[in-house]
Amino acid sequence: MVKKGLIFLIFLSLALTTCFKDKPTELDGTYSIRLVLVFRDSTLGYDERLKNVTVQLHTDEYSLDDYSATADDSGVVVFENLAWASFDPKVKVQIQLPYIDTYGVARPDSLINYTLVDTVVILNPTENAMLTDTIFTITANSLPGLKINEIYYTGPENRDNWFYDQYVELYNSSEEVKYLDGMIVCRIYHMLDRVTYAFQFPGEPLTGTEYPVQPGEFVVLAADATNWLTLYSTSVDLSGAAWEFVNAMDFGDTDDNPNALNLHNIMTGKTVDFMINLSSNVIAIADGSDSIMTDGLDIGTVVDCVEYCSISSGERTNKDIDKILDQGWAGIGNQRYSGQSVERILPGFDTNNSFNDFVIIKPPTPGYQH
Amino acid sequence: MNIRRSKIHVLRRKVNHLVSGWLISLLLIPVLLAYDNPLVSEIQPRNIMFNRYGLTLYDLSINPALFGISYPDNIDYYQTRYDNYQNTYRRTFDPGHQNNYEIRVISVKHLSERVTLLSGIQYNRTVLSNVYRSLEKNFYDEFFTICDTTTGSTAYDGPQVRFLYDYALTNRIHLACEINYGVEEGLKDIYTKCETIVRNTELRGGISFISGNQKTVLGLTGVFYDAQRKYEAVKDLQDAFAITNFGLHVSKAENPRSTIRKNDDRGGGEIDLQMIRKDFLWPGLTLKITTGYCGRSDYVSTGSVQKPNPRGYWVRQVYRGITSLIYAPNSEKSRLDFLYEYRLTGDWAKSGNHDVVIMENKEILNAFNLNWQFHLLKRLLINTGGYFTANACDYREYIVPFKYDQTDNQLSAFLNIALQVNPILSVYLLGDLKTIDLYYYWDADRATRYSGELGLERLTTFGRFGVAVETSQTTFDGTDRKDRSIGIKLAHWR
Repeated sequence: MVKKGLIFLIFLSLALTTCFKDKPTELDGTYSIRLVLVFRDSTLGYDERLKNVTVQLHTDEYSLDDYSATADDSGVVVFENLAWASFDPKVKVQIQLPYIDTYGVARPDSLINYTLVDTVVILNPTENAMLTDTIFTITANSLPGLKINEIYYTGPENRDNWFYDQYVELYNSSEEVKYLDGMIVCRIYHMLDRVTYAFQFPGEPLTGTEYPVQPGEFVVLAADATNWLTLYSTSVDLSGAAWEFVNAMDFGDTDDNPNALNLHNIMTGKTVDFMINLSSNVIAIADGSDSIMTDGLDIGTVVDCVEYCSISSGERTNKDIDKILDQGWAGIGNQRYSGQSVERILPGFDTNNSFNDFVIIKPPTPGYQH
Repeated sequence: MNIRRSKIHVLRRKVNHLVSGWLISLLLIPVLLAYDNPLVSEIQPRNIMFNRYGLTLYDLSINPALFGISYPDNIDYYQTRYDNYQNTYRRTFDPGHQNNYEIRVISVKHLSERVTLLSGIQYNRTVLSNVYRSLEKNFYDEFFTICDTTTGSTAYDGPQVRFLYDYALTNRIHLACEINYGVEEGLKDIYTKCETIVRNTELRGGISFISGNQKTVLGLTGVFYDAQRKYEAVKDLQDAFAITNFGLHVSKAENPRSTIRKNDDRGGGEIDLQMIRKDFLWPGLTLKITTGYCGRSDYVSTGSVQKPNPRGYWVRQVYRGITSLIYAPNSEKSRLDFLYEYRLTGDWAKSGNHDVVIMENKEILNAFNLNWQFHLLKRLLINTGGYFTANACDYREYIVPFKYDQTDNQLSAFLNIALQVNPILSVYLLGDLKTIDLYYYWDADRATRYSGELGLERLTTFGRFGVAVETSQTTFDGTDRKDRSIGIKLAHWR
C-alpha cells in the first residue's frame, strides 16, 4: 500500500514539474554579432570595406547603453556578450575617398569627403548565439539644416474615419540656430506648381530671428494642438505642440490652444484647416521668400521636401515631386487609420531619398525620435 | 468511542490552559494566502507557542484533512488590528511608511462527529505611502516588475474568503477540501494613477489516514493555484512614464501610450505528504514530518489583452521538508520542541521575445528552531528558545551579468512570559531579538531587530476578549536610522 502510494506521489510530482514550459538551453548575455562594413555605390564607383569605423548597436528591447566597437583593418567588427535582442546598428562616419572618374579610375590626389550612414534598420537575433551580417552604408551628403523629420498622416486606429490629429515634425540637424520666421509649410498635389495648402509662420522671411530652432531641436506643427488621447486612446497627445495650423476662414475649427503659436493660411479661397492625404502626398517647407502660391512654389525656396505614398514603388512609377527634391517615397505600406507615422531613421538624416531616409513607426513620436 | 475524540486523543497536547485561546490567530495564517500566494508559507511565528494547540501539523502542512484533528474545538473568532510601519531606512522601492488595517471573522464548527467546517472572511486595507516609482505591492518579491517615474502612495483594499470542509470518511480516513479566494484593488494617488486588480484562487484537497493504534497519522495534500494580476497605468503628464524591470539591473521604458497595462498570469500546484508518529522511540516524543514539492509559473506581458507584448516567463519550484520533534513527557508542565526545515528553491526566467534564460536563482535554506516551554510557577508560563537559519543563495542575472552568491544567516532568541493574574485575567509579554544578514539590495550588511508584545485577555460571560500592543525597532549596520513599527489588535473569541 505504502509502496503504491509512493509511486503515485512520484508520478504526481513528475506530472507537476512537466506543467511548465521547458527551460531554454541558451543563456542571455552570450549573444555575438559579427558585422562587415561596406560602402558600395555603383554610381560613384565605390566598393570599399570601412576600416577603423566605430559601430554602435542600439536595442529597444531593454533600456541599455548602446554597445560600441570598432572595425578592424578588414572592415569587420565583432560584438560579444550581448543581450539577446534585436539591434539597430548605427554607423555614421566621415571619410575621405579618392574621386573615381567616369572611366572608373581612382584619383588619389583628389579626395572627396563623404558622410556615410548605415541602411540597416534592424538585426533580428538568430536561433544560435552568433549572427553574421553585412552593413551596407550610403552617403548622406545633403546639407544639414531644417528637415521634415516626421509626418503623421494616417490617423489613429478608429472606425469613424477620423484623422484630425495629423502633424508634421521639423528637426534642426545643423549645428547652428535656424529661424522659422516667415517660412511656409505646403501640401503639394502634383509637382511644385500644384500647391494645395500653404501655411506661413509669423515673422519676416529669411531675416527674422523671432522664432529660433536650436541645433538638435524638434518642432511639432500640429493640425490642432490638442490632447487627442482623450478622444481616441490610439491617437496622440499634441497638447504640447509648439505650433498649430489655423485657417481664419475655417469657422468650424474653434479650438485654439493658447500655448501653441499659429501658422496661418496664406491661400485665398481655402476654407479648411491643414489636412494631408492619408495615403500619399508631398509635404514641403520653404523659406517663405515666395509666398504667392497661384503660380506654384519656387523650387529655389524649398528647404526640404518629402513625398509619402502607401503604394509600393513597384506598382507606381510616377513621382509627384521633382526627383532632385526627393527620389523615393516614404511610408510604403503604411495604412490609413493605422496610427503609424513615418520618421527619419536618424534625426535629420537626409539622402534626398525618402525610401531610405524614413521608416514607419508606431506609435508616433511628436517631439522626439523613435 | 467517539471517532473525533479518539483521534484528538492521539494528537492533542494539553500543554496548558493558562492562556488558552490567545494567539489562536496562528490558525488563521493560511487566510493570508488569498491575495499573494507566496508558494511556500512561512512557519511563522516560530517563537509563539502559547497557542494551546501548538504548532499543529495543519499549520505545518496546510492539509485540510488534518484540520479537524488539529483543532478539535468549535471556535468563533473576531479580530481587528492596525499596524503602522515607519521605514526610515529602506530599500529604494520600499514605502516610506505603511498602514495596515484588518478585520477578520473565523468560525470553526464541528457539525457532527464526522464533519468539520471552517468559514472565514477577512477584509484588508493596506496603504503604502511615499513609494518611489514602484507600482508593485511587493516589489522585491517579484522578478518582472513595473514602475513609473513618480513618487506616490497606493492604497490596496479587498476581501478574502476561506472555506474548509473536513469529512471523516471512515474512522481512519479524512477527506477535506479548502478554498481560498481573494480579490484586491489598488490605486495610486497620483499619475500614473496605476490601478491594480488581483484575483487569487487556491484550492486544496487533502486526505489523511490514522493508524489502528492511533499513534500514526499520514496525510496527502494536492493544491491547485491560479492568480491574475492586472495593472493599468495612465500616462497623463509627460514625465509619468511606465517602465518594466527585469530583475534589478535591467529595465525597459514602455512606449508612452495613453494606457500602460501589465498582466501577470500565474498558475501552479503543490503536492505534500505528511506524517505524525506519537511515542516515537520513547513515550512522550512526537515526530512530525511534512515534505512536498510545489511549483508556479508566471507569464508576464504588457499591452492590451488583444495585443500583448510578452515580457517574460518565470518558473519557481520548491522542494521542502520539515521535521518536528516534540518531547512532552509531562505535557501539563513542560515541553521541548525542535524543528528543522530544509527548503530548496529554484527559479528561472526566460525572455519574453527570445528563448533564452535571463535569470536563475537557487536557494538552500536550513532552519533550526528550538524552544522550551515550562511553568516556572503555577501561574507563570515561560517559553524560551531560539532559531537559526542559513540561506545559501546563488542568484544570477544574464542580460547584464550580475551574480550574488552568498549565505545569509538569521539568528534569533526569544523569551515569552505569560501570567495568570486571576482565573479570568491573564497577561503576557513576548520579547524577541533577531540579527539578519541582509540581501544585496539593502545598503547594509546586517540588521538587528528588537520586538516586543504586551497583551492581556479577560474571560467574560460573552467569551474572551483580548487586547495587545506590539512594537519593534530595527537598526542597521553603518547607519543611525531605524525602522519602527507599532501595532494594536483587539480580539474576541469563544
